[in-house]
Amino acid sequence: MVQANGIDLSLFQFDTNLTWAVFFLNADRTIYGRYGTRADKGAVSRISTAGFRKAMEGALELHAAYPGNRAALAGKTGPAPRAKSPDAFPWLRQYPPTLQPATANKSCMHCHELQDSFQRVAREPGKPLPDELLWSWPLPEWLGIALDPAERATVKSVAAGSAAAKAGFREGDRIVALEGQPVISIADVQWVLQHAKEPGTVKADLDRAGAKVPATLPLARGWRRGGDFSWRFFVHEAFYTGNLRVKPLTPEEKAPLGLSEKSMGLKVTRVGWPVGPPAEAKKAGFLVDDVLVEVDGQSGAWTESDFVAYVAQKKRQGDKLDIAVLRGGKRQNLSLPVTR
Amino acid sequence: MTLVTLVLAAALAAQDAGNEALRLALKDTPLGPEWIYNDLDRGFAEAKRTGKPMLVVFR
Repeated sequence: MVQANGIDLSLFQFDTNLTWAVFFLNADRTIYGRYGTRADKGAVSRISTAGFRKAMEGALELHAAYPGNRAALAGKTGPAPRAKSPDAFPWLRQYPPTLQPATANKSCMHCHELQDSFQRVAREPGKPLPDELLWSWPLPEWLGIALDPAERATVKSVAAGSAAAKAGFREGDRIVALEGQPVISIADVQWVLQHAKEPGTVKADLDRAGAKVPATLPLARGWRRGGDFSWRFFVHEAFYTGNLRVKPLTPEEKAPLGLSEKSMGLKVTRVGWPVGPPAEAKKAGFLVDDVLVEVDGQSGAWTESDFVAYVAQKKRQGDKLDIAVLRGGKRQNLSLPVTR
Repeated sequence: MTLVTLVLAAALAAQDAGNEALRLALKDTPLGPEWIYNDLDRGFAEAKRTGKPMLVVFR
């Protein structure tokens, strides 16, 4: 499928910021599993042909057991969506439901426009964006589990002191099921985490060298925060920051500026967008290489994700951000309007 | 029956030609005959006919 035009959102729910996403399905629309995970701009660090092959083998096993496993697979179909198809969003109606060769290049809806649209609808009433729309499709690493992309949902390492460590996950464990749903890929783990209640727990069935081991993964309130989503397209388009993009300075880069490791140091890497609005950052006088050191009185060591989340969750359209920057060694105060 | 078969075959051939035209318009990678290109309905129909599971790739 090379288009998101006319996609059935009641069936196909996935991370639409992927460049490559897979569903394994029965002809009756039962989902056996998903494959495809992205953690950064590079897009391929969490996928592999070896891992994909094992996911396919897993899907074939589930197909062979179907329909006896129908109940276990039910949770892989998402809840009824607010919008059943992209044309429910007025701004996406410019795209035809099917691509025609003569106009394909201009009329192809990009998958990421779906996540952008979900955010836009959530934001329009002036409400803060919920965590699940910002830190969406959470990586298991955010809970301390690094899964091996070359295997089928198999633990490569567990971060000391993490939620996964406390739950008893160990290197080499294979996640067989989460919340009773069979797991055949990292994407399947992300699916369960994306829909898990917070605070809450996720029940895991693990295979540890052939032995069945149960585990319960705790999800504390705010557990997603701290994850990096700066590679996502909505950050690239800088909707929330008036087309201002920033990159955190390293401790070595902060030191000459008199900034401590715990201080804010966000270097401006882009002001403005060549194809049009928003352009608030440019109008506000920001320049590339400015270093943000304070935002609305806050001066902690933020990442770009922290900055975008602050605007999307703490500010409303029409608000202003009071930002202090270092420019040429001197501190300067700027005001950035929030336009979305 | 033969006429219906011919009409169906012609419709499928036209569909294949349309999808190939789309692939060329997008300058997309050539794919082998085992793939059904950008036609979900046909994919579901084939899966139902054969009893095999579907592999749907969005890219």
